[in-house]
Amino acid sequence: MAYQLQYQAASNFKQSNSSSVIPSSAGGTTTTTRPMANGEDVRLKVNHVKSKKVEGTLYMMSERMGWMPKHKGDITLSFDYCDIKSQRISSDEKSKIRLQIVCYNETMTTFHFCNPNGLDAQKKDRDDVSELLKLLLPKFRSMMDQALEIKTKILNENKTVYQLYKDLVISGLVPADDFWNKYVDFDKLTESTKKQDTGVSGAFLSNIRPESGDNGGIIYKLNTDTVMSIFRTYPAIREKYEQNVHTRKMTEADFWRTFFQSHYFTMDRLNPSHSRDIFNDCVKRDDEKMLHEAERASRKAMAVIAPETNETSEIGYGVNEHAEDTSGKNDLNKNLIKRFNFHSTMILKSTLGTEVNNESSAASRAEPAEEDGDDDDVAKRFKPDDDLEDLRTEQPDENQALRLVNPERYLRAPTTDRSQKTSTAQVPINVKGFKQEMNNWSANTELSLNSHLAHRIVKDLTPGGALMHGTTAQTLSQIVPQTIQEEMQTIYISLSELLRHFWSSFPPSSPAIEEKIHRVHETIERFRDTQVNTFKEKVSTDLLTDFHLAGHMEDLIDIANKKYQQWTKTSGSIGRV
Amino acid sequence: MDENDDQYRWESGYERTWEVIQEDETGSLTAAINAINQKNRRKELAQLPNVRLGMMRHLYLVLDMSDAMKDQDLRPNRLFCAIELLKEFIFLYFDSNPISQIGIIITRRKRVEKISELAGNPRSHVALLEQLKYQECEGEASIQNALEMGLQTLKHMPKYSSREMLFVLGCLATCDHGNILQTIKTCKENEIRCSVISVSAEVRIFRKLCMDTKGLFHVITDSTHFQELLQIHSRPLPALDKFESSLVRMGFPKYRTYTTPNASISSTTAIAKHEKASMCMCHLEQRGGTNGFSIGGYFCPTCESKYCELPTECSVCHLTLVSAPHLARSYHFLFPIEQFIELTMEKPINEKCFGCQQAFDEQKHKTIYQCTSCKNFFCFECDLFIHGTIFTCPGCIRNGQLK
Repeated sequence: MAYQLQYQAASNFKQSNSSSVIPSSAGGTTTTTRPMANGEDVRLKVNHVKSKKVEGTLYMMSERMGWMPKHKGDITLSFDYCDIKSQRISSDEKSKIRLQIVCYNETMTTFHFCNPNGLDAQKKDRDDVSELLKLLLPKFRSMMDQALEIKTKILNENKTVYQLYKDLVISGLVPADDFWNKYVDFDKLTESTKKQDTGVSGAFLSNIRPESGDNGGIIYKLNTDTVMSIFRTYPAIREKYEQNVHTRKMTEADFWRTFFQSHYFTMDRLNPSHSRDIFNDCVKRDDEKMLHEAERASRKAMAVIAPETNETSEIGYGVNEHAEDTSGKNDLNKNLIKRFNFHSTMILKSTLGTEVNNESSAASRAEPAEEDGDDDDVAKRFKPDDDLEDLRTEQPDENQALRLVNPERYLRAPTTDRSQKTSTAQVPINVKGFKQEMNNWSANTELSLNSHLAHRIVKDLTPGGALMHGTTAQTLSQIVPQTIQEEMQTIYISLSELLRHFWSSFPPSSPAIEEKIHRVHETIERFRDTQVNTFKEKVSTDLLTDFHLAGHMEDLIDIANKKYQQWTKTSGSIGRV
Repeated sequence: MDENDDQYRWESGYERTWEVIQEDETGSLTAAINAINQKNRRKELAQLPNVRLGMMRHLYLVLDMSDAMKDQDLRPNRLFCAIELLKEFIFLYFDSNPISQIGIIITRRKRVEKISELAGNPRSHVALLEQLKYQECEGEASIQNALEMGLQTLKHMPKYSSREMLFVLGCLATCDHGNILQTIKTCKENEIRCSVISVSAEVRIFRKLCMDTKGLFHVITDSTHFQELLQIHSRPLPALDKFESSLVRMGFPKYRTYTTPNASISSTTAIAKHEKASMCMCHLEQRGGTNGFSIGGYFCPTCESKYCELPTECSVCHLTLVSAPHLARSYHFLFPIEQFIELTMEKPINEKCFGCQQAFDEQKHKTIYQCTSCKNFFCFECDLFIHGTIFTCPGCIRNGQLK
């Protein structure tokens, strides 16, 4: 594209003093023109940017970029960041400083920077824009990729959706956005594919089952869940990981290998003798932590049992152990138990971690944050638990009573009030009268048939008889060829999709939805003209014309049409709100 | 065994269940156990009259797909058995509560996945359940995540509907990321009733969940019991205190064979030329077959789309389509028949059970039941059938009474 761009004389410039917020005018229907919304924040504004020989200003917002010609108030060119595939810069030797935006739909737009202050200023302008784009585009690209991925996945998995997509979007009847709004709610999608918070399973370490490898070594299989569990339970390991792997001192595989080999992990670690083991200090830190936790627990318990004394009787909590208690074998067991307790405590603590985040906004503070202040509270809050729920006698729940005004009315169909017509005394007299009349009745045998004739009539009236020429489902499926049936099915699917969009917008709650109603109505009419009529002609052969295969489809469209007419009439007479 | 009313329960004031069980001559306990089971079954089917019920239900079914469901104590394995029974349950549920909706959630690998959103069409749910059968169960269940996922949708449901979650769990633990008691409290505030059917054993946290949210907690003994429990859950539960009433819009389509206005099938030889064949909306996704391709069907009053069966929700205009008999089914629960009087057979009664015409045998029928209005006698099985399935007393109908 050869642009003949020229410098405008400096005198023609007027610094546009427009503020960055411009009142929105009525929106157009093309996608490139969009007024600036009042809430959008402008991150960068570059004057003296030419596009197609017209001078204007380039605005970079948080979600899109737009270009406004100099003497107009509207952004005529707008690109959402998620639509931009890449940007290109003209090489620095060229005299014209240009930036090109390439979109996913293969359109390319070039902006020419023509700052009157000289080449350097222009370069600076362009570089500013380019840097900002480089920052912002990757964010939107990942969103776009994910969206694209999900779309292709859905199309591949679901044949009907694929068919629907082909019929409606490719033939241009329904804009793609509306279509995807049904199948993928993108806002919700990012939420649900976001990792759900998971707990730490109590047995996760034992689930790392070592298998014997080919060369006699042992293979440990780790997956993301296990790694996350390890990090959450043992924050010390996580720090080590960050120190070593993130700073590239070790590869991840190496790290995990050392971890498994180290004495930290194996059962009988008595004396950490190997000084080159990076997990040495972890052992010491763990011991400290365990002591800390034990002290805290015993303090809490003592605050309840004997609040007056300040001593912490630590029997059983593992605090203040004397050296003479340890003998060789006991030590091993003690160590093991210590490590199990530590493991459990850390797992429980990992759940409290999230609780602190959830409750910090609430008025009450979660306990783990404050240790010292709550001992008194614990003592106060403790009340003897002699009223256990399980031991109470069962009380029946109190349910809401039904308030029926006239229950009898529900059991019999509503009747007119006949009490005025006949009184109860009258009834036996009426009955006697009836009985007398019935005595005079005799059978009228003129109209009854003889059995032979009756038999023939019944035969005629059974399915398949002479009188029953109605079509049953079986005859239908046999007569109508398979291809026609399939085509009918696809038309029905597309039509029901369109109609669903139509009916879901009633009653309209906003002007945007009213707009949508008009659009969908137009689409439905177009659909009728194109697909339904072609189908109708196809089935107007002699054989199929009796079935009026397109009749129901037309009825569906007609009813929607009627509703539309009604709505435009009423909304027109009421006046737009 | 002197019972002093003022004693604490742990001293002697509770029922000594081991004394109730007695062995019969051969030393087997089955008879005693059966009697206890019978009593429980009768009790569970009892319904209080004149109680406000939550007829419009939004129920989330949470199915456990953790390791524990691979166990083979139910044939062929727990998951299979559960899914088969749940398929029946779904049809039963829509029969008894035609204006309700169901959604399905599964939990495994400490996470949850939503299989289907709340919808009123039984067939689609059953098809999805069928697919689940062949997927793998692994990992652990996470009840807190399931509750949170249910909360997300159920808290936006209208106030006049009953929000429920039914858990079918085989696991004995739940692996959560935070304090599940907090989540239970949130559910209580949002009036979501959670019920649990445990396939393995009673777990305290599940019982607590049910008690706090006013749901029901059961542990199954075998697959028949499982079926009965599901039957109990298909009935509407009593309404909670904060129920508000509101008007709900519904359509009542009639079965029509679609003919054009000038149809006349008068001549015996002419083929009816004015019929319109049409396809139904419920079977559109299935390729092939003659499903729904016919002249007749139920046509939605607003948009004229065709459906084969009711009750359902119109997929085009989202109108609930029911027929009057469906709503009349709610009478079963709103005007329940009274519990029959239980009599033991002291003197031999020379009568037969009014329901099944079986002669009353002292050995077999320890207790017989008598209807309060028509005074007929019924055996235990007939009593269960009357209260659980047909909801009317055959004797009373005969006499023309409507209750």
